Amino acid sequence: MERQTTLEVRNLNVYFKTAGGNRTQAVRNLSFQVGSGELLGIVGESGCGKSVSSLAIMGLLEFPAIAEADKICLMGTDISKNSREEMRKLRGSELSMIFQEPMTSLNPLFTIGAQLSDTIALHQECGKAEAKRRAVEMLEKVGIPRAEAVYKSYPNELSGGMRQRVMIAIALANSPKLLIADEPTTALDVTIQAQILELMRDLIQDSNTAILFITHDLGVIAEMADRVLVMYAGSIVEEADVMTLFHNCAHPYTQGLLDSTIKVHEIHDELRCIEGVVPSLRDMPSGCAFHPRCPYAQEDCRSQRPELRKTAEGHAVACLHPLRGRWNHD
Amino acid sequence: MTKARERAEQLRQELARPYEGENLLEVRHLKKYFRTGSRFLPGKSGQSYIRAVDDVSFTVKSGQTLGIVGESGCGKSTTGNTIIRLLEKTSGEVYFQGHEISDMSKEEMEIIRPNIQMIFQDPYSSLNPRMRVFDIIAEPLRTHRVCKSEGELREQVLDMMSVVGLQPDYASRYPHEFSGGQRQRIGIARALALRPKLIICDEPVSALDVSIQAQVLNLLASLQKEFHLSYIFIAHGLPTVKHVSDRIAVMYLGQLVELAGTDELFASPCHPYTEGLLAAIPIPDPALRKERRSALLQGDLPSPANPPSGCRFHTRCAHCKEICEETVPAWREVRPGHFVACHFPVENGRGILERQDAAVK
Amino acid sequence: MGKKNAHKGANPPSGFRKYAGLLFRSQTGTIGFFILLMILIIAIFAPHIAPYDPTSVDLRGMRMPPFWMEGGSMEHILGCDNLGRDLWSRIIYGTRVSLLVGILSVLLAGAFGIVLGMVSGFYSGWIDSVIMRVTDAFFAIPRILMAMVVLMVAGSSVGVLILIIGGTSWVPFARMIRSEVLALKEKEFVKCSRSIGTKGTVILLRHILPNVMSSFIVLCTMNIAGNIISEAALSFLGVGIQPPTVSWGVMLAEGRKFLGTHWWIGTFPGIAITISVLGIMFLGNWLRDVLDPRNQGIK
Repeated sequence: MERQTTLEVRNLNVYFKTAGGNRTQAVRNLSFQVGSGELLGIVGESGCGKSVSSLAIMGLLEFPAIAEADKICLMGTDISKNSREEMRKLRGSELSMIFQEPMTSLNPLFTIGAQLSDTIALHQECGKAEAKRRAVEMLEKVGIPRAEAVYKSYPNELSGGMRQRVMIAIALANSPKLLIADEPTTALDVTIQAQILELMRDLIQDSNTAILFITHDLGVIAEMADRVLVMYAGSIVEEADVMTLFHNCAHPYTQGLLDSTIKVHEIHDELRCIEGVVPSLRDMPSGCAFHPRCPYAQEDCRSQRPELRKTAEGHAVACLHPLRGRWNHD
Repeated sequence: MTKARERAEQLRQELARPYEGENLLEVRHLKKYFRTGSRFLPGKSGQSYIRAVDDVSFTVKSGQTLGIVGESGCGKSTTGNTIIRLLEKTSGEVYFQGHEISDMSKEEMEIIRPNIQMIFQDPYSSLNPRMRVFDIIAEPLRTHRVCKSEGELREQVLDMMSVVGLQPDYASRYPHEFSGGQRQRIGIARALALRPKLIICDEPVSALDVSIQAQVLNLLASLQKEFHLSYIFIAHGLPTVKHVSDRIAVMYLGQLVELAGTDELFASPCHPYTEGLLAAIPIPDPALRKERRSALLQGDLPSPANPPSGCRFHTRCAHCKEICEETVPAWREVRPGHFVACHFPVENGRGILERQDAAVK
Repeated sequence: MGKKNAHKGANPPSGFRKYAGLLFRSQTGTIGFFILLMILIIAIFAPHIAPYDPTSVDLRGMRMPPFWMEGGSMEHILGCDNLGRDLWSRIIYGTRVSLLVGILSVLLAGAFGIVLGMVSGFYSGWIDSVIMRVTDAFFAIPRILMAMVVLMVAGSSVGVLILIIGGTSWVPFARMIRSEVLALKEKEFVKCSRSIGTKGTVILLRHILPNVMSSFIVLCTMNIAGNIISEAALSFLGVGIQPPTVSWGVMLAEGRKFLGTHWWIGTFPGIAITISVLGIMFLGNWLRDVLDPRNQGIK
């Protein structure tokens, strides 16, 4: 199926300015694209730059973080040089975001309805009554029972799962071209997480919204994503479609992540871990950032930084000695 | 007076020996209620109770791990805190090596305490930021005056550090200099320092990254073998619990709904809640994606302050009948070692292990 | 001085050197340190530094302006007051009383407040209720009024002044420490310590106390400043330090009458108060940062 490219990011770099006028790099040469109706998963551990990148795309980075990119194209127009005001107009209409904490991302002093219909009225030219009608419709669409009553209630009267549904309703209210979901289910209970994932899947099935789904949970990725970016220490280390990633990954880090994920569906799961810790931004190893933890590291990994190279159609890996078929499912 | 001292001495000697019995810890009908509202106001704002733990019974077998799993507000952490007497029970009994400990005097509890230790969830708030690693690990040893000299203390602490994989020169550093995984190792070393028999792990890995989780879980497993430890492993995530536990207890709104051996529970759960919980786990294999869905639980968790009548799960249960709304289901053994509290236990519950077998065939 | 030794003791190994290094890397810390050092030296060696006796009267120099103004001379660099007493000498002697009252009253209030705050926060229940109600009651009484009444009844001396200023300024200590303890008590490391079986008093001293120290020290320094001002205010109102003893407050009070015509009599003691208060606050802020081990890697 031919997909229209919704978002294209070319060479995104994010720096943090530090006290001495130095800067540390949090994201390095990030390039990827997402097509309409596609769900691109970004997976990585804390500090790998996945959240910072998404904020950079939204234009929400604040000092001391600075983003630079060759281009960030949304539906073919470059938004990387946009002014603050232009970005503000895009957010909530073309671009929208769901955050991790459903408890704090809603303003406790306003009703659900006010917050939702404000978003609608702000970007769609319609009257108050019309905005309310659409808001209630949105609430019903995200599976909230008694939408009329919920419309009038305050965030603290709702459970975490309900609040996250409201957040999704707000994010999707103006049928955005791109939705960024930053760990949308991490703070929720398992059964509620399953409901929310199910809901998101249903909602995107019949829309052409492109989704960046950021998570640390490979299980969620396996359930949701079409294509996956694996990030480590600010760079993409592997990019593949979801089947390839789980059954035929090429980067030792991806393999390590898969090995240290508990296989709930197997009787005797063995847990192999990645030794060592994630390096800090201020103290990046030379060469391949993963080499101190890599069991297959060789001499050249210490000095040479691997570029992201295409190894097969739709599969790219940043490794000097990629694995071949070492992690197969049978 | 001398009689009490004699009894204490006897207890001390008994605890010093390895335990021969089967059930290291036995919890019977444990209840913990929290009072809310005002005693003086009538009606809704008047006094009521949150039944955080309501009639829970289980045993921890010597040298084994019992996993306790459930969603937020199910009372799993309160259970752990009540066993170790961070909270005082409302009623019920807790037996450690056959001794009732939940009513024990302070003095006798002093003797028991070194045998039951705890590992906490948040590696950032569980270590005093003003104390050096050495002092953190030495604290339990100092409190119970285990070491006769400063040199012996040092030796013990450094020994513990090497057991959990920390370099000895870390001893003089402060907690903020470490990553989450290393901090959790410090917490484990502190819990191990008194050579306990039982460690209550309250979500020890849920704040850690995936690759670090695996390190800590593997460490806990190897320590269990080395020191013949028993664990109570409390978590909200079934995957971690499955990995470490021999048996798993599932809690819902303050009550146990099911308790069974790990593989059995994952292969054929009997309680509809367990079934729904299993179906909700995201499976890290995209090939199995399409096969689930039907058993997803609908609805929200009710508030523990105002739990549903009868079977507390009936509001979300697909098989709910009239009796479920009225009568509390009894705790019974449906298969050897497999307990469930349900009026209509699922005959052939769909677990996730079974399906995997089918997929392989 | 005492404070410095205390923190040296808490971090024995490379202590003093490390802190000296840390001190000079912070600009405000350095300034504060030198101001306080200077004030201490002045207070201790007052008789050697001051060119005149603070009470000796030079009739020729009555209301003499500072040396750079017309009619001033280098004999009295800051000029003289209405009785012809050398202002510079009086400020130097005044340092003694002001500093003594400021520091001792804070130590008194701090000790009282930290004990009450920790007890009430840690052992909640009826103890907490009693302590907090007493605190509320104290909070409701206007400090200066109460101090004035007591001073008028008991008579005024440096000792009584310290007692009364200290005894009325412990309320913020107790409240702040209590709220910090309430938060700390719920931290997992405290729970953990209790699960190990550590006694309540030991937890208070080993876990809670070090963690409230940084806010305590900041509050102390701010209160030293505040209490110096309280002393000045009471003396200004005529119930504090009584002449011929000199304090900055007394001087301020005397200068008030001449502010329109001979501004220097009241202004210089005012400047002295401002400088020392600033210095102490700078040092306090620096101390707070440095006493927190989490900040040491960064600065």
